[in-house]
Amino acid sequence: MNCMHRRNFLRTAIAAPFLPVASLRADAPTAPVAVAPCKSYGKELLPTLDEMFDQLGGLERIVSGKTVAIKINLTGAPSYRLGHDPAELAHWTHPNVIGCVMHLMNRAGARRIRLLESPWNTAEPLEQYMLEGGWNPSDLLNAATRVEMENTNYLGSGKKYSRMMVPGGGHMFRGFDLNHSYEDCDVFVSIAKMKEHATAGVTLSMKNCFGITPCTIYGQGSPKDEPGVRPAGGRGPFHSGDRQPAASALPENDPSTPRQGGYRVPRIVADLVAARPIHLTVVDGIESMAKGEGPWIRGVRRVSPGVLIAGTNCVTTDAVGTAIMGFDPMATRGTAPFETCDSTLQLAELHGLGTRDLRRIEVLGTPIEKVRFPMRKV
Amino acid sequence: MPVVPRPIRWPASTPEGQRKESVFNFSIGAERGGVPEGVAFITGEWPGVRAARQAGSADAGPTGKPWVNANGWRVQQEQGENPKRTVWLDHGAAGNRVLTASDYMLAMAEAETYGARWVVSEDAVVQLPALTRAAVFFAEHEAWAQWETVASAGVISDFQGPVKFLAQEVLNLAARRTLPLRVLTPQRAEQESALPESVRAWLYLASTEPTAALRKKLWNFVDSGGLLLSPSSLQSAQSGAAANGYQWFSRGKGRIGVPEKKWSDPYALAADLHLLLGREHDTVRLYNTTAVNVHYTAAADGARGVVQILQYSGRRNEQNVTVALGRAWKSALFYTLAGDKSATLSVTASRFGSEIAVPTFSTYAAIELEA
Repeated sequence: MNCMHRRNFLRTAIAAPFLPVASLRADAPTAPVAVAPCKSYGKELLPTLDEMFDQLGGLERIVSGKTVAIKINLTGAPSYRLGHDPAELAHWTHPNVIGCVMHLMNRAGARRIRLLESPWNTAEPLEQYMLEGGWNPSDLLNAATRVEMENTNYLGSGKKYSRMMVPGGGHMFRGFDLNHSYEDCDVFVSIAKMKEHATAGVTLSMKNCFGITPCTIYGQGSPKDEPGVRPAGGRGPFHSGDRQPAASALPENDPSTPRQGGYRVPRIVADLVAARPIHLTVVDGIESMAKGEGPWIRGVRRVSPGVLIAGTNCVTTDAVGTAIMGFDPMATRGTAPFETCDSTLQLAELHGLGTRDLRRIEVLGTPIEKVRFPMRKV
Repeated sequence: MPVVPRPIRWPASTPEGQRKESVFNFSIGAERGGVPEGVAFITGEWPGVRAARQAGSADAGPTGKPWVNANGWRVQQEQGENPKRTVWLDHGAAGNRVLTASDYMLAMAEAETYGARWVVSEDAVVQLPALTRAAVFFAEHEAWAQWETVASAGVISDFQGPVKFLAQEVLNLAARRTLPLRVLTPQRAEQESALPESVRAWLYLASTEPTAALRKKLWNFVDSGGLLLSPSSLQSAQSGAAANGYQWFSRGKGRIGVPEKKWSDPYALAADLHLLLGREHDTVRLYNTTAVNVHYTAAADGARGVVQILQYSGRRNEQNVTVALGRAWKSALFYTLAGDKSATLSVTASRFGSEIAVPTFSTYAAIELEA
């Protein structure tokens, strides 16, 4: 180990746990969260979601007459499965959840719905990616009147990237250059999967937005100066900090901070959801996986929590989701599920996006205790 | 159909009795002398994952998957010219690579999967018992080699002149995309009474323009709803809008796509063929594989088929592999070269067609299907 490596190692290993993260922001806003048991993706799904949205005050007030952009979670290559089961039973948001939400939004008067995802290492149309994963995109294209899909892992159909700034400057980035679809919408929705995450502790509505970043700029293989034409590689640099984004985008605020995924990823996620606020979140916890976010994580297994969560505040929703998963949303680095990382909830709260304090969050529908599914104990 | 001999390079010390009793019944010398008429000799690459310079890693291809040295495409190219010709793959010296038993087994399985023969190398003779068992297995399933590739896309190419590299690499990279192809030379495409019905998209990539007769055949294909990618419009109907890097010419129920920029990148071209056709027309998909190629063939009447899977990374086992097929099959039998018996697999109906959970295997697996 040479001197430079040793210094980096020490900085990462020793300093990171003591980096100052303020404990609580008491003035962070709150919003109610709807929780409902749902054991399958069958007939019960649509009425359950319908009732949850009613509990939140109705979809009309959120989507009527609006262009709605929905970020879904299709993480990993479409050829990955946990065992032999389709991806939507483990690590992808289930198409029935997406379809039902779209149907209800259509009924509530949404003008246009655009499904967004930045699929792994490709500029292929999202429809083709879904087909490879075994989905039939026609089901989703027909779930509402005016539906579009866009692969946001590159420039896509836009003429230029949209620069979206983090109010207050950001923990790690002041702003991000994103596919135009994240700006060209009135309402932004995150439909996420309820999972643990090897780097960030939990994957819920906020972590889902890690994937809004185009790998043509932020990916391992992006060119040094300008965005690439096609994405090359994954978001390794966000984890490791081994390189800066393409120079056309804003660089990190402070490249001397720890080059450690557990430090970086939660901060980047908090910055992203501050730059691109989420208006509505739906968390698919009907079928899922424990111990990680995808089949590529060692030791993962299928679980069936049988729960849906929805809210209009990403932090309060994820706080409730974290509690349902058997963790304390107030936990900080060193405590489960954040043993080796900082808490995205805490960092988002510090941005003033929402509170993670369950005492300040109204839970509608089913109490947390009745649907609690301790991921590590089941 | 005459049984094609199985070639081998015997070490000089091999007793005559052993040679006579062997299933490898064609002894071949270093000069390849005495090769039977009708055999196409190809110098192939030792199949396997391409090793990177850095120890412990492997090169990744543009697909993001490990880059494999595969020879199936070379066999398909030869067969595209003359399907009755027997192809012998001779891999020659391995250079610095240390070959193992699984490398020899893969060399044999790869050749046989595509209906070719591997010239058993002199150094492989130490593995003769295992190779003999494998050869007997393939001899017992000789019919598989006569079946046609189940493909919805195809390439018409003479593999000559300036298009040679591009056309060959399209075959190679399409296989890495799990896009099975039918391969024809322009001459054969012209001579065949009709182009294969299952093919919905053809890539015309030859060093010369098609003859009038072939052009007519291609027009008929497009008229009936087919997709043709070609460097020129073949003097077809009016051009429509430009999209996805192509100028589109409508004709009948189909269309002809002419590239706006000259094709040069085989990865992009293989992807274009796949995506412009659309994955909804996939015939086979694989889940949880990495360094794997698949060869999916079926009898002409569609009543029987086989999916043969080649695993190029050698030592590791493939686990939790699922094969999805774009049509319904009723039953499936599973074979490997390690086991003596077949095993019945459950076939699950899916919206795509059918899905089969494949047991753990290394190097080679075959799933024999019945409709």
